[in-house]
Amino acid sequence: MEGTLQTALRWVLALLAQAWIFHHLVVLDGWVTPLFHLYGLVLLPLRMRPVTYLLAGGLMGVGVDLLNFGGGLFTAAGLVSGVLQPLIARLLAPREGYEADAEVGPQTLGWLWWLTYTFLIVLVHAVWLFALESGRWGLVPKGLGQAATSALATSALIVIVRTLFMRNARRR
Amino acid sequence: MRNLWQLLLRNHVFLLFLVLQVLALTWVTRSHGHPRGAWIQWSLRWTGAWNEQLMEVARIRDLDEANALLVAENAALRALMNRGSTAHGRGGEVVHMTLARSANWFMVNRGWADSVRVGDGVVSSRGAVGRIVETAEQYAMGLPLVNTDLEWSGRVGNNGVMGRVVWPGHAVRSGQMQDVPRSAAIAVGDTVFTTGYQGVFPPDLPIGIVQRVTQNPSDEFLTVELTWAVDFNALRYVELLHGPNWPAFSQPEATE
Repeated sequence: MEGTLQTALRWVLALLAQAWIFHHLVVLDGWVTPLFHLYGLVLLPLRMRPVTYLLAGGLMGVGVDLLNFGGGLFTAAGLVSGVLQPLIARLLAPREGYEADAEVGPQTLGWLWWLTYTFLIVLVHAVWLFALESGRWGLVPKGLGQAATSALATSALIVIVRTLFMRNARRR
Repeated sequence: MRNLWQLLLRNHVFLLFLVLQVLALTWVTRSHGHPRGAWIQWSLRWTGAWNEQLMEVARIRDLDEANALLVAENAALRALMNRGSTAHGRGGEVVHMTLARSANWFMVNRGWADSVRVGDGVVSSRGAVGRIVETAEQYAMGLPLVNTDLEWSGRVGNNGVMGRVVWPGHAVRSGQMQDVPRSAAIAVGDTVFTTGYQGVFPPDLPIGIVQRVTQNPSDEFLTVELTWAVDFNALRYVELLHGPNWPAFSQPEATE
């Protein structure tokens, strides 16, 4: 079971990585926009209070907005993914519920659960972010397309980074 | 009363979400397209240095020096040309630019310490780029032509018809000139220039080249499709222009 300190450290590192590295890696005219800060939110422990997810998502958004001139877009999107994260976890829960030591990842809950959970959280975040960013109705369809492709790319990124960290942890 | 209190308690997370979401959306609507204020200055200071370091990684030393010299020379020549209007310019480098958003922005490595002011025009050797909306000591933030919240004043040819130049938000390479009277004679390949009326750019700077002219079925105006004179994907060296005489025609450069 991961400690609170490790979770908080990962949250901060994900924020800084997004602000200083992944923010610069937007490609294909925005059709692939990495949202790596979600790594710190997706991997929050499963059994926290719902209000903690909400505040963690909102604060993450404030951080990205301040560092990358998001003008509130990431805060709004972070709040949406934060409020929906416990609902997504409940929706995907095994029939007998989560075990006390269940960790977010493929180890205890399987790859299908891990991929679905990651993708859904990233998708709701991206849809709200890109829809708001569109700024006018005519650009919303394009924004939703960009949200879908960026969510796929970000989910793949999160899964790859998590897998790499798991391998390193196993070796140690 | 007790039931109401219990209802609120039961849904406190959702209610908190609604309150915070309204605050976030207020922030979005207030800043969309025109990010201003203390937090921008703070962020410019912190992220500007980092963005410049990233640019260093990609820098080709010799080419960089040659370009810097050309920009300085360009700025000096433009200052000489505009001596009558006391306009002057400074060379700068774009250290970061977003092109994937609808409210795009860019950051240049010149700030109020270099006499850059809010409202200064930003141009490249190819034409109009945008205008400065916020400054910190060593960095400034600007909004480019490719920002859906802005409108610019343009003229076809040096003496032709005028219209509103906007970016519809689709391809980064192309913009639109709107509200052009149907009687205007415009040909594909014509150049659209700045008018100088808005107090940001001097007149007759290239904005774009006409690609297509379509007639609006609903009104008496033409829509002119443009290819920007500036390649925003490759934009790096710019000049920041300040023209104290232009505000004689001054209007707000951009409308929200």
